[in-house]
Amino acid sequence: MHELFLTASVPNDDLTRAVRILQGFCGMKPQAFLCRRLMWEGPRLRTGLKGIPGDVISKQTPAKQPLWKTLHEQLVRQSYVVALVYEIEKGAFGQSTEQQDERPNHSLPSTCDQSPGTLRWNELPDPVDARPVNTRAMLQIDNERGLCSTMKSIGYRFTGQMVQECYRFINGNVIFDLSRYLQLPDDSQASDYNSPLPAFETLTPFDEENKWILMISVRVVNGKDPDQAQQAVSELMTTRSEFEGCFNFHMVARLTMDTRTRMT
Amino acid sequence: MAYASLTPEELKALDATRQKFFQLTSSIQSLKNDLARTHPLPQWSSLQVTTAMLSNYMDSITRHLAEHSELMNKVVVYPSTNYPGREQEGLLGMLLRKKLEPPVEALVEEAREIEIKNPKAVSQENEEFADWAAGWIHQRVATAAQSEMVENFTQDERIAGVENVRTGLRRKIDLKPPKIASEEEESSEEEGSEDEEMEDAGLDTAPTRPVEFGMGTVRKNPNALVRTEDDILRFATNGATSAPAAPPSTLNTVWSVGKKAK
Repeated sequence: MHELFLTASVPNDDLTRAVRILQGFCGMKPQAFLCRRLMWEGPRLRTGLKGIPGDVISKQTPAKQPLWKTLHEQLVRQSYVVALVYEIEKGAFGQSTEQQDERPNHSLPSTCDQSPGTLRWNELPDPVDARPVNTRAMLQIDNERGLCSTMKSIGYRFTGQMVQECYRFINGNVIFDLSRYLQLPDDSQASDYNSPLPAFETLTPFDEENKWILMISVRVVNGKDPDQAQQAVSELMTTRSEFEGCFNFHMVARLTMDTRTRMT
Repeated sequence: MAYASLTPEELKALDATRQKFFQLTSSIQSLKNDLARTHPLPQWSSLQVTTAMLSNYMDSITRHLAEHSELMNKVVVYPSTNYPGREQEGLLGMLLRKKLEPPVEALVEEAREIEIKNPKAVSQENEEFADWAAGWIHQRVATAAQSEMVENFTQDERIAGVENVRTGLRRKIDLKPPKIASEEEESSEEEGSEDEEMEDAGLDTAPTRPVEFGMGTVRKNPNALVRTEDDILRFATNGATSAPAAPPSTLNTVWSVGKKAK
């Protein structure tokens, strides 16, 4: 599967306006969600990667085995940073210190490992060619339990986590994701994916200016198919031109979204 | 002089005509100015008020002209013998012109055509609306009678005494009349809740209402840095909080090694 996309940044002051505009454009209420994103880094090896062992793949349900096999092919070729995404409720956050004594701490009902999550692998975006949008191969395995153990078992290392706050709109085949990324306040909490989340109020935006990123994307089953790609490109370009003067959608330098494990 | 033959009343009527036309034209002019100059456009409510005023003026002019139609028909305008006709020929022509100006004539023609083509268009629309409203109100009354009314008996039955009414129903019916006060309260509550519902339903579109979103405020990190869009994307994609120290060429090498390994 391939994802074709463009991005724009939205200052926090313009958020309300942006949401209203998108709401009107797409004719829908935003789907608001919060995600806990755990980043897992592959072994720092250039060769001799093991990928995903056969027994792990064979443990998966038959429907998902092809996805795991494709993932294995990618992870054998190259070591990547892979994200595990867990959708969370606001109740999953802890209480602030004043409230803590009164009410029990509503941490995640179970650890991330026991909750269903999504594994998301992104390839480094393709080199810039004639296409006016970024393209990257991607793979998403939804609704899986025990992802953390699986990642550990294949030699991946947990490197950090963040909370993504996102408003999603959909118009035709175009997905609009208006997101910001929040950091956990305490390093010790950030470095343990099993620790409960702190109070939402204590999270801090990654960007001091609290900018939001608006990404418009179209997913195609096969990005190498020129017809599919062309349709996705034309939808994105139409969207871009409709928002000209409002959101400045543009391409991203491919190395910005490099997901390969750094060999340092 | 020519106007000597007009009575004071007739003169008054002519002057009133002039006044009314003056009011109308100046209102139209000010509306045009408003539309051209104000940015954003005037509020719809003020446009509506202006339109109502204009239509009032026109209505009053029409009535006035109809009232004095006899006079208007017989009055003839012509210049005095001492009018400097040669020097002021243009003005004279304008003042005495009886035909409509060409653009105005075109507009009048257009309006007449519309009138001829569908003389009943407006009344048809009204009829349709009335039909729809009648259908709707029947349903609404039925709903109200079946599920919203709290009164079990008619006024006549109440006067005759509810004990004597043979309802033929086995279930028990509340014989007490519903309290008027509570009914009012209920109905006002209902209206209130309806209003709320309507407000809620308008949530998506009402432009003045703040959009319901935002999980809450977050704390500002005193040590946070101003990040570029690229930084944020990098962080989101691979969790890196800083740009890679390695030059792109190294990364490219890694990439090619990766390819070879395949």
